[in-house]
Amino acid sequence: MPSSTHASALTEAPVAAPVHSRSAWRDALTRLRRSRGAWVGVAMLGLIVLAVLGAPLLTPKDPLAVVVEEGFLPPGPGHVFGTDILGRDMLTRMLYGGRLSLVTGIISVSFALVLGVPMGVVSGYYGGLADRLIMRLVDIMLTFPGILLALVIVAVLGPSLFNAMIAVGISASPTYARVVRATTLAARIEAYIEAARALGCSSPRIIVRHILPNTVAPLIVLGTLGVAGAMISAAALSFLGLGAQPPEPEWGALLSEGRSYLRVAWWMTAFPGFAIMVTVLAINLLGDGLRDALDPRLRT
Amino acid sequence: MSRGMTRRRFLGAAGAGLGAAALSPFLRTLPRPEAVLAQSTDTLIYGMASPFDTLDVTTTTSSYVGRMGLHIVDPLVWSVKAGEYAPSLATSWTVSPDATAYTFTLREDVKFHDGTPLNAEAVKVTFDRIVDPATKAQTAFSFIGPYDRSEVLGTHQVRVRFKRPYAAFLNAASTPYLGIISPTALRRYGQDFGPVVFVSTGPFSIQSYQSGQEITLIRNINYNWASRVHKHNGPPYLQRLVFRIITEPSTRMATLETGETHFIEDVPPTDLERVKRNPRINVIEVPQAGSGWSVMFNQQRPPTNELAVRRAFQLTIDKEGLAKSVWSGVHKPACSPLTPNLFGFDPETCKKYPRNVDQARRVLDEAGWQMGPDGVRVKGGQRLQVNYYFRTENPKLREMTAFIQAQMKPVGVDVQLIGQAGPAYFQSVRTGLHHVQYWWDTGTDPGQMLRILYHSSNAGGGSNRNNYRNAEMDTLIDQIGAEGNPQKRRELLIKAQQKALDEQIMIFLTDPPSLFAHQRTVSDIWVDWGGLYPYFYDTRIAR
Amino acid sequence: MLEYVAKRLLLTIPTVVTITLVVFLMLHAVPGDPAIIFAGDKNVTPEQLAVVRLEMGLDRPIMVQYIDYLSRILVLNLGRSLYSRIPVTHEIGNRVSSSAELAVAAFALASVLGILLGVVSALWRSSWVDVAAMSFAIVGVSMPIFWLASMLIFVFAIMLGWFPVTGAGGLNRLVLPALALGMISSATLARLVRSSVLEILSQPYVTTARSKGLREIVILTRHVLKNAFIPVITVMGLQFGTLLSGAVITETVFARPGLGKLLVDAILIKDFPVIQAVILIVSLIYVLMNLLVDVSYAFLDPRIRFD
Repeated sequence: MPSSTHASALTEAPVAAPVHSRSAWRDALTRLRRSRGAWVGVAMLGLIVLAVLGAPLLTPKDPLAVVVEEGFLPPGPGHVFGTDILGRDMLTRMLYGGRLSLVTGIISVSFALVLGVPMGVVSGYYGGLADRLIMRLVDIMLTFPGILLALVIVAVLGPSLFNAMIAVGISASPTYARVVRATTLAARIEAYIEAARALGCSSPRIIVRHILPNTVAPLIVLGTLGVAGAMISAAALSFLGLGAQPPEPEWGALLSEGRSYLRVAWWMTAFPGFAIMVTVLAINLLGDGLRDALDPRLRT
Repeated sequence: MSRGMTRRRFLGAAGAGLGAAALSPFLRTLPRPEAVLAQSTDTLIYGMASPFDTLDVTTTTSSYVGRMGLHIVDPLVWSVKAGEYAPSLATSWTVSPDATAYTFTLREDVKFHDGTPLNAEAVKVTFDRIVDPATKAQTAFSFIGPYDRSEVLGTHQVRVRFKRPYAAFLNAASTPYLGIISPTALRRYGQDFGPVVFVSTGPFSIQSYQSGQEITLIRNINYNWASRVHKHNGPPYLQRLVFRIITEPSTRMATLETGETHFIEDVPPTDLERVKRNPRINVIEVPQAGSGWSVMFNQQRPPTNELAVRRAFQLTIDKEGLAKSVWSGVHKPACSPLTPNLFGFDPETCKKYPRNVDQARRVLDEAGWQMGPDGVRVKGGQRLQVNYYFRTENPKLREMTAFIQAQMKPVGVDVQLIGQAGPAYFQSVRTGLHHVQYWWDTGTDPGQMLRILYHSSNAGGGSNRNNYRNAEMDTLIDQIGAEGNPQKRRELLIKAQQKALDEQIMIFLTDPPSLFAHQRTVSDIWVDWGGLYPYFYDTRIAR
Repeated sequence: MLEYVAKRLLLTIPTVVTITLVVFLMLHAVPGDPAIIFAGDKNVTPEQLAVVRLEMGLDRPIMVQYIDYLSRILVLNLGRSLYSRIPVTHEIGNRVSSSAELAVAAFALASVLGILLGVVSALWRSSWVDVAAMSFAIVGVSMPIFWLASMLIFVFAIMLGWFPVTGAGGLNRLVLPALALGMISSATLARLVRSSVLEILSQPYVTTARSKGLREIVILTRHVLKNAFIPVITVMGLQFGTLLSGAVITETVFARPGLGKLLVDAILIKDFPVIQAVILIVSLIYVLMNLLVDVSYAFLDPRIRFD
């Protein structure tokens, strides 16, 4: 495993430039406002979220209703994105499924944060044995490339969308732990000076008041991009049959349903996949913009 | 400067090394002999729908292995049609009046692939092995029934004894699962006999096996003991028979259309119409013998322990609609534990309890299930919720479950879908956590079908996932197993089917056909009357 | 140099051992009696179940099972598949070439395409080339691999018929899967290469080199690329990990009988020996890959060697 001395700013989130002062935040905001990519991303994401939330208004159909006579209808009047084998309208399923997919991404990242941040803070602040143990655990988790760790976890817990969220969250947490550890290490130096002055200030207070705020900036970036990654990972698990279970129309599950019928009903695959791509693209654009805004050193 | 030179040279060497390593996989994948062979008319490539669990046809649970297995073993008798058998390894046989003893006279000219001769001892070894717990035989074990022992009466005479009357033994003996193996090979290979190597008497023998990919069978040039059912005697015309595992249905279909395979099984129903129109391809559609696709209700767990609830399902589910949508109209709606082509099938079962959603509602009302505010019925504080367990591996199961869930909702039944992968699924259903689960079975003996579904000996963790225990039904099934007289047997079978229907133990959804497709150039394919075994002994491929 | 490699190699051993322990424990935490699993849908007597359990050694304490497992691994006895009874080494051996050729092809494609795009867009920054390449890159990074794979099959194999839909073996069966697997990786790489090169280009010593009158191509090769490659190699190493996990999906969609598909299938049926063996091998490969990355670092940057 490449040790931290080899890592460059490209593979780990910004370490320095702790954003203390309010003017630093204001500068960041200004940079963000100027980023064209971020605007495009926000606009796309906004549209998607609105569509998905407003599903009942946009389509009167029931995503689970089976209509035998309307099986495998191609995109056309009455069914903008066609129907599946049971005659269920694809647009309706996609809109309701979008709720599942987005929520899955957000919850997975939340799990990852809940696991990774404390690990990183404890590791970076207290150092010593705790640091070595936690980093060893992180290294081991990182030895499982990509989806493999999530696969094994779902195998243990059983296939369900919720378990997929847990699995994806756990497998994403090492990255957050590492980043938070790095920022904690950097901030700890300053914090000690303050603590020496404050005399009698308890550690948890120092952590909350001085260490954590420094982690916010990189976590915003990682978190945003993480939602995109988590969505894809969860969709991949659903695609393999290990995530969302029928008839939940989560986007990955829709792709899995369409796979057997690629030849007779290409629309079952094309549109849900496109939806995933567009959403993830929007989030990535936003995330890129955030990264540029919050760490000008990386701006290219 | 010198350091730079060393570094550059190292990098150069490393680059060359990596390059060679990178190229070598490509070198290995230049045109393989198999690609050339596929052009040759002596090799038939068979697209299989399911991976093998083992080569050993006596220990497998997979009917797909049985299809391959029929080519490397010979059964004692050959099935001609329901109830009629022709000599195969056995030239003649007698059955004791109480059907507890079967005496076979064997051919004297049969040799195993390892050259040793077939004799009565081999039959005894084969059958004893099947019932030995260490072998872990599955399908074969259930087919051998109440086997007691085999007596070697002479070099080529053997008597097979059963603990109870077993009228269906000839049917079992005609399946590849009870094919005779070489005792010499068994002794020689030990634990590897089965997973790695398999020696029998069939028209083909195993040439090579790449697990997960394909198995290649090669013609047995010494073969000279074909059953009279077939068109010729002597070695098969095909030089090689390759069973290639292509589990993805659309991929398997594509290989036939591009010519990469000669024959495929399990044609996807959605592609059937298109394939029938293809002038270069022939479709073989045979109604499958067995019990079709069905739904089992756990009689031990409320609310499915209530007849009214089960009846509501029967009256609500639109089997025609299911066949039309999920199965693209290729299946026929079903109504009995037996498929129509099985002996003793009762056509009257289809007339009882036809679809009537209003009546379903009435039945539930009368049973005390009142419609609740959220659209789900309630009785005594309990919601009418039913847990439907199914395996996630098969997309068709997902579609069927979604269909049934959607249909039961307007009637006020909340069907919860619980999909699990193989092991967890078996754990759940064997311990009876389910209310509802699927069943699909094939088989040519009606008594066997009923025993699997309804006999109490199979309840509580076995195949009777209905957990249905009824002394009267057990007696009926035992009688059917023992009854040799066809007329009486038919009466008993009809009685059992009527009882099953009246008690609404299960619901039968659809009866599938076995769907095979092959290149027009492939001729003389034999398929058994039940649609279970395509057989290529007489097969030729035209140039 | 050799000392450095040896030292790093030794350090990987405790990691690998810990991985085997983690995998071993994790799988034994899985709910479901393996003996019942083995019986499946068929009727099995309690005696048969007992025989299975005895054979799998499930009646002994966990730690004993683990030690036994470790000692068997050391002599390369990876056990037999619970499902097929075939020695695991056979199962793996049959599938290695398919996975290897896919991994190599995808890695090569990803690296070449990614580096090319990244360098080109950095050098011609803000031109249409840059915009086009980076648009491709960000779309590529957002694309789910199972969707890309399905769409490639639909367009090139089904509609146009240029490639076979199925399986492994032969160059023309490698193209679409390698494309699917490599394209997304190349997008990530392209973005990072571009950043890295730009960062180097803005360094003072590059301006100095230019002012000294050195030719652009010399500056490029001797200074820029060499230094830009240090972080790039880390990423390529990490990308290999992404490839390994992406291979699981690619092999499933393209129905290639490789290690990834073997793993997924084994997980679904809880075939312990196979799962443990494949994860062990994959982790080993990944660890070795990281070692390779570190070693090449030490080469490109002599300072690190004396760390």
